[in-house]
Amino acid sequence: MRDATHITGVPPTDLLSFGDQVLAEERRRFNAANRDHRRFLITARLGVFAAALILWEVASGTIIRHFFIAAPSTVSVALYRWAVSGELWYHAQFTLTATFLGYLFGSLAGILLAWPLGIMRTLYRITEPYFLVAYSVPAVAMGPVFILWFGLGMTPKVVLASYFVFFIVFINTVTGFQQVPQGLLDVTRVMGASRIDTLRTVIFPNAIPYVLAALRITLPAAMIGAVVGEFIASNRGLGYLTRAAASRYSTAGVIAGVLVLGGIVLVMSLMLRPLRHALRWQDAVEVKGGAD
Amino acid sequence: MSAIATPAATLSPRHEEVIAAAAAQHRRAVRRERLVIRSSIIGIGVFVLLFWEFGLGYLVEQRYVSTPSAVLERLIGGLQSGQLLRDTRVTFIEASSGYVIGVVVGLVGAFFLALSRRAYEVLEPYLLWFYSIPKIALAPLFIMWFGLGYMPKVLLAALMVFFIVFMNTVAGVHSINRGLLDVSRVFGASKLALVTKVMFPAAAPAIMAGIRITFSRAMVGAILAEFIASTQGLGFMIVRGSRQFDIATVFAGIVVVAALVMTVNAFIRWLEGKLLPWSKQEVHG
Amino acid sequence: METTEQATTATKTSVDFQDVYKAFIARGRSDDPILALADVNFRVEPGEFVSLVGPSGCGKSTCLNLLAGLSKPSSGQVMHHGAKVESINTSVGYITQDDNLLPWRSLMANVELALEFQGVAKAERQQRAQEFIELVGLGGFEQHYPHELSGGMRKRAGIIRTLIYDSDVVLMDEPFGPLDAQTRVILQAELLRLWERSRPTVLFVTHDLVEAIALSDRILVFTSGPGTIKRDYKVELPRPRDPFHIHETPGFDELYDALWTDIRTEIEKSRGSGVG
Repeated sequence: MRDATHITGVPPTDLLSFGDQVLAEERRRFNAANRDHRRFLITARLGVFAAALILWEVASGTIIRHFFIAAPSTVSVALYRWAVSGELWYHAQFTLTATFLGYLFGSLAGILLAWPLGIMRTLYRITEPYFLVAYSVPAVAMGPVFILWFGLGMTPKVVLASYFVFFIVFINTVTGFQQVPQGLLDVTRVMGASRIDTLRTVIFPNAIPYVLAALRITLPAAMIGAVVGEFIASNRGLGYLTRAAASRYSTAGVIAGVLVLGGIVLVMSLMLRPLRHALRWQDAVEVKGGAD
Repeated sequence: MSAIATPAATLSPRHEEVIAAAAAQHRRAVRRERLVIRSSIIGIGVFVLLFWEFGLGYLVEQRYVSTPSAVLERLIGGLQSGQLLRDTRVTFIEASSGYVIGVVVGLVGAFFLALSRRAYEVLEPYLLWFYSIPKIALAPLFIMWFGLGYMPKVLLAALMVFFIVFMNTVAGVHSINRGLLDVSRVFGASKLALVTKVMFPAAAPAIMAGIRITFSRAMVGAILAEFIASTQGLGFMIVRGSRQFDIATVFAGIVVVAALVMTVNAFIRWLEGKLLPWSKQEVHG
Repeated sequence: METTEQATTATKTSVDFQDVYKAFIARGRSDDPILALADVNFRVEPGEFVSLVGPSGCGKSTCLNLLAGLSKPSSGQVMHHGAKVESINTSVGYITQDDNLLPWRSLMANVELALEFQGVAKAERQQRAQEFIELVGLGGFEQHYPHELSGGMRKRAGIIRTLIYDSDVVLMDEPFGPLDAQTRVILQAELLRLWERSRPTVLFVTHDLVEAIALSDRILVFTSGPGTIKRDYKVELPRPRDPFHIHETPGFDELYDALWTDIRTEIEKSRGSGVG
């Protein structure tokens, strides 16, 4: 066997430390490239943000009329006024209440209805065409119906929000019940599982990730339902606030309203993000549907 | 288990007999099941309609729920006067032009962004923010800007569609197998050829998924804008019915909306089958 | 059910396929049925380790499904201890090609599963599960979920969770299929060691002829579709066997050649007429 020195040009005793050096050098280079890239991204992103903001401020009132795009400064003033006068909190309180109640009732109804339909194949096949028809009615179109039934108060908004949530939770939960791998069912049945055992140990656990995934995306959907209800007919809530600003032709008010609505939805999405990794035993599943 | 090729030569009469018996049994079972399910579907539908027509009025006030015959009457009356067709036409034009604009702009936008990975990385957080902001919140803004005409409806419909198509396309492009791109580069593909010949075809299923499902979103955009401010269209018909406490008209409008959505969806699927016969469509159920 | 029962079961045939035919309707396609099994007759005595080999799609796995009661024969009957199998047969253990561990249960909870269905008290089933887990060297992984285990570890878990409830017939459908060659042999050795403990009857489906020889007392060779039994080999190699060196055992080569000749003609036959 030949001496290692012939191959590497380094005495064999130093081979190990030489290897370490190479690795360290490589790691350093990799980290540096990574750091550079991150720095570039952060600067570029901030740059884009600042540029957009400045362009908006300058263009508003010069290139584009104030009526179309109120300057960021004007919008901030409008937001500040709402916050100080308490108007913002007053209206937000109604919207958020309708959102949470709708989320609660809608997901509860979705899960409870999905349960029998998900595990009874024939029942599902019988009712499926009706669900498909109901699903192709845009949820928004039900707004006027609920307002006609339940008046102008909180109820129609809660119902509309529930309706937005219901279908998404329902469809995903049914999928979770139905997509149980046949192998798991066969194996547990041969092991002597009763019908209840199968439900408890196989079918329900299989549906959990689907339910969680649906619950993750439907809080924003509930909020949208509530706001749509407020758009159509109401005298309070953030949707009303925005629409009222529009009818006064207050561009700053409308943009401020849109920003608040968007901000709340964004916060909700971020809040529910950890649900994605809530289950140690598996990765995220794909969700069907979504609304806004 | 894989399908089993049955060499014809090895089949004895006994084999044929077993096969024929199994086939007959299967056909009987399928026929019986189909009969049960179809008759149940029809039965439920008939029961609900009859109950709505004759029974529901005893439980709640008739003026809240109307009757199927009254809804049918509104539909026929609307057809005779031509008003229903006019409203449908308006909403269809708004939704479909919004849909087309949204799809085209979404594809073109994604195309340019696919050219530069860097640009995408810089813009990513903003895109995700915009994506998660409810587009319908912009309805009052559009109406304030553009008034009562077609413009705000088309714009809202387009916006509802745009983001889905755009994000689906970008996601589809980014999930392309790296090996495919590397091989194409080795073959000497230019950047443009890479995008048009490799990236987009490979991302086609994801792109089509975005295009296929979004017409109903365009309808949502158009109808919501009509709810808030308009003088014509199905949304206007529904919301005016609601204000006049005419629930039969409201339901008639909803029926037409649902029928329109289902028809256009079926048309899109048919068109996809014609244009892209290789793209596999998910069949529900 | 100790000595007296054992004496009677020993005289009784464990598994008996009598003139079994099975036709399938391939889902989604046309309604044309396909004949998977035709005229299948064989018996397995208690404690025998029997392998079923044959070309792909010859209906070997179908035999296991019939015995487990997951499907019914189109004609003929499948007997288990003299009783006709007519519904799910919970007195067999079934180890499938996919490990089919419940992803939401830890290793421990998966191994306990069958005992849980039988209503065994928690303390006892945990103790027995622990014993089996140690037996295959999975100690320390009790609380890990299946996706946190390697392929070989999941296979071991799948085997012990079936062996734990002492069913007298164990069905194995290519249990070592997707594993690499080394892991396969290690698991074969482990399976033999576990089998020697209580010597249950085993029906083992495999494509691997070396595996079949290393493990079995008998090997049934199936013809290509419709599957029927072409030949019934006795494996006379002495036990206990060492799968690592099985190919050096006298008699191995002759048996292997005979099996391979049988199977090759079947493969050629199905090529010639099936695909064409």
